[in-house]
Amino acid sequence: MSRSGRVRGNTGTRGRALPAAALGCLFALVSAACSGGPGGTAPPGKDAGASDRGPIVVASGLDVTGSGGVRQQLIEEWNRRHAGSEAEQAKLVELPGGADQQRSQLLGALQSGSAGYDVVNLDITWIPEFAEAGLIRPVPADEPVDRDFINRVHRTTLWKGRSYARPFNTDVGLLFYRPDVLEDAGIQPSRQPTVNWTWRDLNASIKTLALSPRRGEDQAGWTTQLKQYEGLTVNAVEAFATAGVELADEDGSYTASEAELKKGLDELLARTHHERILPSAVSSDETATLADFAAGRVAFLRHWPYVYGALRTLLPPDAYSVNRLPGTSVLGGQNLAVASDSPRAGNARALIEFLTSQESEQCLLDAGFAATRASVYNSSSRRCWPRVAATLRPAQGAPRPPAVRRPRRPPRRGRAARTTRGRWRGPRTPRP
Amino acid sequence: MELRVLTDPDLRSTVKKAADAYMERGDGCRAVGITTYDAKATDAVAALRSSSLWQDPPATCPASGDCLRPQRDVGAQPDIWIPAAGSAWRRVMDDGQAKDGASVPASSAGAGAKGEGGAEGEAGERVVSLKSLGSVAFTPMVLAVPLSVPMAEAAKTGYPLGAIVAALRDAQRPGRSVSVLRPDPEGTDGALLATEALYGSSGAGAASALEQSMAQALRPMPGTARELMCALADGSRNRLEDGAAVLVPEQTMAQFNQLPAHLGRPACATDTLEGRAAYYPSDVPVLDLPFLRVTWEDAGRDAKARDREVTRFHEWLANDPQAQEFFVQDGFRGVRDGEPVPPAETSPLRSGPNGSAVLRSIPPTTGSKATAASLSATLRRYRQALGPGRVLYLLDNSTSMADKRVWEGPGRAKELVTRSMGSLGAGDTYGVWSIASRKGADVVPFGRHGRAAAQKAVAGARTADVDARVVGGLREGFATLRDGPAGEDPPRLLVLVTDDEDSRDLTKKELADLVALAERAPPVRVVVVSLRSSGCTSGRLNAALTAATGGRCLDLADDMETELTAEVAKTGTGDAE
Repeated sequence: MSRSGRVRGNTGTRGRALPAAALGCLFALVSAACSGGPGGTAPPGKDAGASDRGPIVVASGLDVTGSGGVRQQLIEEWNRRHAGSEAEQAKLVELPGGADQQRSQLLGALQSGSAGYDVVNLDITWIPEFAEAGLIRPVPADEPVDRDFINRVHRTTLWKGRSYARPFNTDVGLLFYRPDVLEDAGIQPSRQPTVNWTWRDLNASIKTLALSPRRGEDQAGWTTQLKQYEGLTVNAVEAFATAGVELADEDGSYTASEAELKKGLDELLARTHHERILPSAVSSDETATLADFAAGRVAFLRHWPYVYGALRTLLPPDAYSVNRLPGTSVLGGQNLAVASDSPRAGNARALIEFLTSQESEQCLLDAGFAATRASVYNSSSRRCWPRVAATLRPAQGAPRPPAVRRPRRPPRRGRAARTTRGRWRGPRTPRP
Repeated sequence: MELRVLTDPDLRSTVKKAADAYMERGDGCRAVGITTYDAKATDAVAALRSSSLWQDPPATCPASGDCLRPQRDVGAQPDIWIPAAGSAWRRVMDDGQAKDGASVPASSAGAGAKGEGGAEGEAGERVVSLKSLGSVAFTPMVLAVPLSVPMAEAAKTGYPLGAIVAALRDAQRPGRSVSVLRPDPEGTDGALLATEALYGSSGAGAASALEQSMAQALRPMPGTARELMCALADGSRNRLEDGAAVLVPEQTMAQFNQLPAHLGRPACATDTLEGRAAYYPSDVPVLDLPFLRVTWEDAGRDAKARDREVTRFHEWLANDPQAQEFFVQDGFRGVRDGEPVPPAETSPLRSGPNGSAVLRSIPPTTGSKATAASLSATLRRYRQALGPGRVLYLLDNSTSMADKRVWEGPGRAKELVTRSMGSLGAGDTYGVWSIASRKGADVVPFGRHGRAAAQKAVAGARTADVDARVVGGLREGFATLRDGPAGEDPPRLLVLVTDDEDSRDLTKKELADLVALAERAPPVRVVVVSLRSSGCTSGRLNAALTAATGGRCLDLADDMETELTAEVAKTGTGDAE
């Protein structure tokens, strides 16, 4: 699952009680293995040569940064660099809104051929399903592994020992907080979130907030996305994983016992205790929780990296900050794969390499996505493509934005780097 | 195997329940995945007619911005389509480009819609073939009349809609007039069929009066039957709770008639909503929920296997008692051998108030003359009926817009405006004011225009290095829109396109004053396009103004082009041309 490409939280819901939801997920996981598509795995070996005719069609979810956003810009940069060659021109096709519909369209289209996609942008949790069904081509076996990709993130492209994609953007749950609200309640900066925080620390902070005489009637400690869609699943999985409960093993077989389920649920219930969490969390998605946080109804927020950029326009710089999410966070993100059927697999592969290059990943980070290369985080990567960078910056000759915004950037990268570099233990196997 | 099922909005929740159950049956090994989704009925028809654009969308939209994108606007390419009525299917297959100028209109982006200078944008071709495997359930369209209105029993069957409405007017008690309402005809097949009958009975020119009076009672008109009933039930429209007769599927009426203890009663139903009895017009066809296999050209990779799974799903849906039970429990009539099954004594259609509100067998509807062409004509009349509108754009042209790269380019401010102007026609009165300028700088002065010239003027607008006068612009805008002859009540729309730079620091009092001004009569809908992510956060200017006026706030998380064009289309008459 991924947040970076989608803000629409309303994916298909099932309306089941929470314990059954966990089982239901696993059922679907098991049965996904039964739905192996025609043809089994794609033929290994070199990709087919470039076809004479383009364009290279890239199917991806809507860009939350608006039309003309960074993904479209990267494709345009590729097109400029291949201006003489019609066969190598690329085209971005936007898929329908929610994650469920995107998956449905991709599966249905690749299975039946109802649309001709060459490159598909897949949620990391879909890789095993698409690979198992033979719908995407594995990366050629002789291609060396690019060690610049964050290891954990690279592993999301693997299925049964082979890599099927390249990481495009990653995603991880983060803890956002309001230093101003905390200080108001007497919690000094030295007692505010650090990378070593546990849920105990968070709960203690929430308790202190609750006791503060300055606390408003409608305020609560924290909020997160608990509406009955992907948000609830993500939060439940994070609670389970923090409690040490693994729901499935590397091959997708269900492994938890009833006792473990209870342990995981206890953790989830403790976190969402009515004295800690904002009541409306159970009906909130990404947009609603962001609004609650910006309005000061909570001091802590569990949310995705893209929110950091959004907060820039909602709050003054010293009113928000971010750190690692205590306990375990899920790993999300999207990977780019070549469709098995594509008659221009060679060109498609080249386009994917371009879109996941150091320059492109730097552009993604600049645009507010979580990049997948380590070099981007320790500032040793090449800079973003100049023409793309220009679209992300204010126009030349215009008054610069207030300088107070600038200092924010370096600390963010540091935190994001620490966060995405293996300090957490995300569930290895995909959820449906 | 993944099957994609597109349904009419009135049917979605029932079909989804059945599809989910189909996936779960068996011993845990799921062979088929089914995703069920819905889209506005007219959008679905337009998308299937131009399905080549679905399969292979153009890389960019033309400069005018008119561009149909079924993939993004409707959803996944369906393998199965379950419209509410066979008439929708006929409209897709109807290959005649109507002689009177417009092909089947898309509701918002208007592929093939003709403006000045001919068709704009790429018109697609139909690359799907549709095959009906049979109905999965039935429900007739009814006029659901509040029980307290003393209508004759005899009027329940055998009369066309016009006669039933006339009888309704006669039966009104003095001082307690009854409105006739129906959901947005663009939203569902049922509403469109009902509208055709409604217009047909009223003669030429009356569509306008009908639509105006419906809009007076409830605006904007909800998109599905269920939403309409929820709007009546929500306690804010006392007069309509027992004073509105609604044209809805019998199934929806039956659900809302149920007593509170009944599980099938919709969550939004309240006790203040009066029960209703069904009157069956003879000239509105029964909704026969045809199950259509959609085959895409060139999609031969797994054609045989896909066909087999689709057929299996249909067989289960139409024949399996568990499947049929989903429909029956939601107030539909089941199907056996292709014919509707009279409801059993235990079904919701016979229990509680429905025992007398609903008839056992569906009366014949031979009086309907709906054809593909006539329905297209009805849609056109509907779009024209609310009359020419008055639309004013307030365009924030301060330099911050250019700095943030939201002033010009694809999907940016100027293009959003020019694209949405495609929904304006020669009869509409409109203007575009740039608000970061000295007073009186009109990009397009408020009045009647040739659309191409107006769009060109907008495309050539420039930024200015002053703060945008958002509050001043809004005040003047409201005044201008409300100006005009007293007898007329055209639809009015104010569109604010901004990056929020200069409207962020309003005091509470200023905000409250603006909202009060917005809420005054005559009504003006406000649509704000905030070119800033999270620009529609509640509590701020954008959200407050749009909520108070029944408008919409769009920010970067929305599909701004399509949504803004659709909003302007609700007020303008451009689509109808």
